[in-house]
Amino acid sequence: MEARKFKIVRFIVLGALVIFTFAFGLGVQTADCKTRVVVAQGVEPTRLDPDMHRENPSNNVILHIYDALIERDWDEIIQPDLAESWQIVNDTTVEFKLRKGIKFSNGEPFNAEVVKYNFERVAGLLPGAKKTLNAADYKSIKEVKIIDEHTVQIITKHPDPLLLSYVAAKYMVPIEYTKKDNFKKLATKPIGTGPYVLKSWMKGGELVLTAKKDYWKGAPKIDEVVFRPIPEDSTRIAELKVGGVDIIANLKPDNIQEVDAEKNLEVKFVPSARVAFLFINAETYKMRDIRVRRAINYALDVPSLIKNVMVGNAYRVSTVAPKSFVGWDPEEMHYSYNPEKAKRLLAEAGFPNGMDATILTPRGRYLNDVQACEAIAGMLAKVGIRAKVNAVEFGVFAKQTQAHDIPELMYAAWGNNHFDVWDTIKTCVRSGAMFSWYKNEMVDENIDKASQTIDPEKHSRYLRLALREMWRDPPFGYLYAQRDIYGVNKRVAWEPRSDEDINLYGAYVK
Amino acid sequence: MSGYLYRRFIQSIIIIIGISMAVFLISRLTGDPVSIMVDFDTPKEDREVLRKELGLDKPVPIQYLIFLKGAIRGDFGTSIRYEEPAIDLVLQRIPATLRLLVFTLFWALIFAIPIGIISALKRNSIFDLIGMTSTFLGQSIPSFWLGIMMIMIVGVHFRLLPISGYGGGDVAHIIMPAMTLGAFEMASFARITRSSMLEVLDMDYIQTARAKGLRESLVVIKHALRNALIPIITIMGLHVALLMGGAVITEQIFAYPGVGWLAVQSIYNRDFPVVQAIVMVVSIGVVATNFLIDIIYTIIDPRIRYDR
Repeated sequence: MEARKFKIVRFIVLGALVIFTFAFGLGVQTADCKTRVVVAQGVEPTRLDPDMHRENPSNNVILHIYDALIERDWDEIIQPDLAESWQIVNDTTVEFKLRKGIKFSNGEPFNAEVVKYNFERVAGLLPGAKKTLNAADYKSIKEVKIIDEHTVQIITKHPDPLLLSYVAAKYMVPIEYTKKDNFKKLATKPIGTGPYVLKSWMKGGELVLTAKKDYWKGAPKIDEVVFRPIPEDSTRIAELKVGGVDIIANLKPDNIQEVDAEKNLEVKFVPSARVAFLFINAETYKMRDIRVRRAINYALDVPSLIKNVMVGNAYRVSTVAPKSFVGWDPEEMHYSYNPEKAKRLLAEAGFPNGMDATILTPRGRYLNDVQACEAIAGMLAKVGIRAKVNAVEFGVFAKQTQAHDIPELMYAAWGNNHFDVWDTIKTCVRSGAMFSWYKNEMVDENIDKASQTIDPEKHSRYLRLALREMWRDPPFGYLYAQRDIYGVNKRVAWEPRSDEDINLYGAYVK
Repeated sequence: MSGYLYRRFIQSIIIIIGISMAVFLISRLTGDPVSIMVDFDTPKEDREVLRKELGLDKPVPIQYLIFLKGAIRGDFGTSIRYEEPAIDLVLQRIPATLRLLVFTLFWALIFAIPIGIISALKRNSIFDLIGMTSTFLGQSIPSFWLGIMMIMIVGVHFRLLPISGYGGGDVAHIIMPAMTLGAFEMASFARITRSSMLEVLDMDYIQTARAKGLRESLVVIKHALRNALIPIITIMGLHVALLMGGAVITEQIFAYPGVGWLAVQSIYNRDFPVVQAIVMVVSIGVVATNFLIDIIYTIIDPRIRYDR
């Protein structure tokens, strides 16, 4: 009797084991000879409709599936893509000549109709279409005019110097496919003209793209590109080490050595478009005087900050613009490190005994932000500005800055998606703008002129004039641009970009 | 349904309503979702439009009633980040987490019960010492550390198991997360088994069983263990909630696509609808598990059935 019960128990235990084995399946690794490159990102894409997302991880997938009329090359210079050429007709009209014979992966043709449909959607001119998340970028568009099947004009309400930049960010989606269900399916089953098509997407797991052999620019050299979300830094690095993934972004300076030490891995650097500067609140009585603001710039030892705080992961920029920006000034003016002169200027401005000040900074939002502010406070103390660092959560920081309520000084690293100085200074310098605590009529005038001019040469000239005046009468303590760091498996030949896009068309497996 | 179970059922409902209020209020206290959702330099007017769209301009009690009305029908609103119904996102991730929890409990019990029994039977022996020291470690090691160590040693150094992901749900991908998540549970279960076994083994009826010449294995399994099970099951019920908490960390470390990871991501993004849906679904799960355990009590210990 008891023995039988024991048998039953044994049977149950064994049965449970068998069920478990089957239920969970045994991991079988399938070998295939296709080339496959795996990219790990911190989060997964939200939607693959190019106009219905706002973040990099989605964009990195999208740029493999779709094409735009024009694209930025690795030097951030705008080049032809689906449009073989373009011409600025006048200050409010740009004409694009489209490439012929291109088809979407579902067979629909690409032509002037498609271009019109796409820009009307984002400009809010398409009846019945939901407002897209990038609508604010295209609100200057008044009309899209079809000249013939392969010629299109985009007409804006007023001159928009960033129009080409926005056109380069507008990926083309097909008409018939999206019309059927008002763009619903596009979010999960994208159709584009790009080098890859979506094969599968398991939420929270792998997103697999396969190469389009008949891609119009030539078949991609990597057969399968896989995107995986891995939230933990240390897990991403571990996966990189064992070859589970090939490319990881946002490597921390602390981890450079660890990755570099592996034979099969390398660390790649690229100058970022994110520029850090110390906002000076010229609306406060202490900072109103130009001499005080110049003194702050003479007090900052930027090369030392780059070397000691950023551990080399930053590079000095002239005022607010790295070399890749439209409006960059080839004369590269820098303040020299001169604490004596800073003290003298402060005394002349009426602060012979120095002053107290506060530096507001978000905590952990930008690379080594709090450490940088503490070092800056130390440098300012040497010339008599006794600065206190107030490090807060980004939510608090955002709220305070948006309410236009900041102390004398504030540290922020400003991103710029358009590689155009105008984009930065129209929000951070132009008097009356959301993040400007500064007023200089000459600067304002040049910013306004730049905003009315789409001719690249003239547009740049106004920006350079503004930058020079901003150098003389500084709204910021000028610092550095960040550097982006990637960990890459050496078997993949791939180069990172300044705009944080991870683009594998053109990359190959060695 | 007996009076006991009936009372427990009513209590469960009250708990769930309480949780719904707490969830709702806490998520309203952690900051403005609008400022996280839009670009840093979005003008104030656009923010107001969005606030209105999300119903955040209404008084909080009204917002709660709207929330409750939807929640009863399983409608927690649309995810701010994914623009999909929040409940769908949560339900998509539930199977992965359930699988992790079941696997974790399974391995924890398989190790814990024998360790507990042996430690109790051979009290103060070397087995007891080893068993209790290792459970002590299991209880005190933080799971994020254990997870990272396992990744470094098992995954990177020996390359025995895949480091992260779901891999279509195969066993290999679940072993390390389950070990990490289960270390604490295993240790707790082993200690509880040991102490309740010790208590039971001193009872008169065990002596009687032995005295009538029953084989020791039968004494232990049939007479001692069955009576020692009640506290173990109680602890299991309580630990389902703990496990869910642990899953948040473990899933994040191993990029395991379950509810815990979704929870962390949604909290970062102030994705209220998803956070609320997760907390409600998980709470209902935990409350239901505890109710289930109340039912199991009545099966294991018939005395409870006739209680009052």
